[in-house]
Amino acid sequence: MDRRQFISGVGYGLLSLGLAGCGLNLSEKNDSQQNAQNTQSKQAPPSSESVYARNKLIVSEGSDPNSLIEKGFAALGGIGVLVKKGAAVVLKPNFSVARKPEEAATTNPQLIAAVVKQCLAAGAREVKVIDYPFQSPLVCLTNSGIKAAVEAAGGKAYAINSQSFYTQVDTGGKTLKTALFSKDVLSADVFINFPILKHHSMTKLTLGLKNMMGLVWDRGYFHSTDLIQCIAELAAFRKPHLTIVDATRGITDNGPMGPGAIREWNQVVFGVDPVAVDTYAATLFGHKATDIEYITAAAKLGVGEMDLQKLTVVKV
Amino acid sequence: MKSKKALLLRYTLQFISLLSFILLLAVLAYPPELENQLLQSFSRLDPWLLLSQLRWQQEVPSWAWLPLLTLVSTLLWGRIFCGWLCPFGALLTLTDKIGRAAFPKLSLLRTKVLRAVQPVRGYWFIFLGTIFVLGSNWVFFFTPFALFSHEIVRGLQGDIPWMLIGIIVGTLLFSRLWCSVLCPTGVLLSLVARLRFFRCELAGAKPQESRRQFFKVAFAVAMAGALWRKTVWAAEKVLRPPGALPELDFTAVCNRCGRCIQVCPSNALRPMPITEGLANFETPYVIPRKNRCDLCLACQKVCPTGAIAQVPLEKIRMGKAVIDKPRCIAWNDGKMCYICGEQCPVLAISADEHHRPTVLSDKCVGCGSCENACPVNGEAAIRVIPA
Repeated sequence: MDRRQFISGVGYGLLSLGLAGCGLNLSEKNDSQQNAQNTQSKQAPPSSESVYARNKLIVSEGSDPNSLIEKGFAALGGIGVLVKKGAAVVLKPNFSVARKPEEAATTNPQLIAAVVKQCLAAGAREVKVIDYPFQSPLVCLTNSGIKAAVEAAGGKAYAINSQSFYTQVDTGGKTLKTALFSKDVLSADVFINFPILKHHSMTKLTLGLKNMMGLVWDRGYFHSTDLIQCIAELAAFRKPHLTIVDATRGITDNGPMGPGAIREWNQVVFGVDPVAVDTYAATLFGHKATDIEYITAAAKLGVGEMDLQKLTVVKV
Repeated sequence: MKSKKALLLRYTLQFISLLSFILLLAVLAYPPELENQLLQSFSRLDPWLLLSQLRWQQEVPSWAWLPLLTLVSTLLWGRIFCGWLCPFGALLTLTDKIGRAAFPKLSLLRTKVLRAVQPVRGYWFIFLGTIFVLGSNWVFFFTPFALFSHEIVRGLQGDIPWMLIGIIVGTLLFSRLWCSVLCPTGVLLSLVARLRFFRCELAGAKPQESRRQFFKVAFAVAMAGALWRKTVWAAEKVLRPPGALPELDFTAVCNRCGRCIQVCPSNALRPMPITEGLANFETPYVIPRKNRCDLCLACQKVCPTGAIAQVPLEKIRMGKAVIDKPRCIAWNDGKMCYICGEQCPVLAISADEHHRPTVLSDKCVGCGSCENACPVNGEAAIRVIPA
C-alpha cells in the first residue's frame, strides 16, 4: 500500500507540474468537459493529424498476410507517408490472452510481422509491439506466436505489465479524468492500433476503441465506474495515426478469452478514423454499429464518424 | 602419471557438472525445453529419486536405468557419482580445497571430527530411511539435486540461500562432512560401495559390538517412528500447483527442489514460508490475489518427483471459485463488470442478461484468474477455495 501511495503521489506530483506547465488550473479543468478537451489538445502530443485521408477506409481481402498488408498500405498512399526515416513506431495488437494463432483470439502474428517489415523498410528506427495482457506476458507472447514473428521481422515485442511502463496523463474526460497511460505510445512518432475482430462478452465486440484499454494500467477503474464512457473518453484522449483491424478470422462467442467458434472474413481494415473503422468491422461481424455502445459513445464525443454513407470504402 | 591424468579428468568433470547444473537452472524458463530434459536426466542419476518413485507411485519409471547405472557403477568402482559427477559434491570439493588452504591449522581437528562423526551416518541413514518408508519425503530434500537446486533457485529468486551458506561454512571448517555423513545419497552410495565386487571387506563385527549396534539401530528407528508424523501435516488449505497430488501426498512427495517456482512464467508459484510448518516449508503454492496460474503446466514438466503429476487441463482441480455477491460490483452495484468471466481461461463463469457472473463449478479448475482480476479493492469479490 505504501508503495502504491508513493507512486500515485509521484504521479499526482507530475500531473500538477504538467498542469502548471500548461498554465491551467486543476479545479477549473474538472468543472467542464469543454475545458477538459482544451487540456487534452494541449497536453496530448499532436497525434492524429493524419497523413492519410480521414474519410477513407481501405479493406484488403485475401489470405496471404504479406499481400493483405502491402495492398492496404499501397491503397492508403504508401507507408512512407506515415513512417518517416528514423521514426519510432508502436504497434498495439491484441495479445491479451494466452491463445494460439489458430484459436483466433489474438491478432494474427503474420500480419503484425508484415507491418513490422513494412515500417522498417520505410526507414523506421524501431518498431515496438506492445500490449498489457491479462495472463502472464511470456505465455501470451509465446502462445500467440507474436514474439517469434515480430523478432524474426526485426521488431521488439513485449508486454507493458509493470507500472513503470506508464505515466499519469490528464485524459480530460468526465469519468476518466486521469489515467496511467503507456509511455511507449506517448513517445512514439507513429502509433498504429492493431486489434483483432472478435467477440466480447460484455461489449459484444472488441475492436479498435476497446483495444486501447490495453494501454492503461488501471483497467479495473473502467469497470468499476462506467466502462463504455471510459472507453469513449480514452478514444478521445489519444487517437492512433492508423487503425488496422485484423478481420481475417476471429472468435464469434466466448470472447475475449475463448476458446470459441471461429469465423473467417479474410479481410483487413485500414483507416484513420477509429470510429469509422470500428463501425465497418462491427457491420462485417453482423452487428449494427449502434449496437456497440462504445462506438456510439465515442462518436458522441466527436472522436469520429459512424455513418458509413459519409465514408469511402475502397476494397483492394 | 596415470593418476594425475585421472585427477585432471575428475576435476574437469566436476567443474562441468557444477557449472552446467547452475546454468541449466538459471536458463530454465517457459516453455521448458532441452534444459529441462537435461536437468531431469541429470537428477535422475540419484537412486533416491527411483526409491521415491517406487515408494509413492509404485511403478518402475522408464528412466530407471539412470539410477541403476549409478548403483552399478558404485558397485564396480565405488562412489564415483559423489566424487566425479555430483554438482553439489563438486562445489563442496572446491570449498574443501579452499578451506584446507585457508585454515591449515584446523587439519588435525578436521580429521578428528570426521572420524568421530563418521559412525553416526549409519544411524542417520536408518533414521531417514524409516521416515521415508513410513511416508515423508522431506528426507529427500537433503539429496544433492534437490537441496542444491533449491538453494540455487532461492538465489535466482533473490532470496538468501542460507542452507547453502551454512553447508559451505561447515565444509570450510570440517571438510566434506556433509557428503560423507549427512547427504542421504552419499550415505546410500557408500553403503552400496561397501558391497563392491573388487574389494570385498565384509569383515564381521564383534558380537558385543553388534548387540550395541542393535540398540542404536532400534533407537534410530524408534525416533523416526515417533517423529515422522510430526513432519507430515497439511497446511491451512492453500492452492497447490495444477496437477498436484492430494495435499498430504503432495507434501510427502515434493522434494522442494524449487524448479516449478523457477519455471513459473507468471510467478504464481511461491515457496511456502516456515510459518506454515516444517512439513510445508518451501513447498510451492499459489496466492491468486497476487498472481494467477495461467495453466501453462510447465511445472508439471519440470517436476522431478511426480508431486505435480502430469494431469491434463480438463482434469485439473486446484480449487473452486466462489462469488461473494454482496461485495461484487456487478451483483450489488449494477456495474458493467464481468472481468472474472472475461478472464476465465476455461469458460467456467457465465453471465446473465445484466452481465452478472455465476460460477459453473463443474468447469472451474481453480486457477485464480478471476480472483486475481477482480477490480474490487482489497479482498476479491470472487475467491478460489482450495480443493
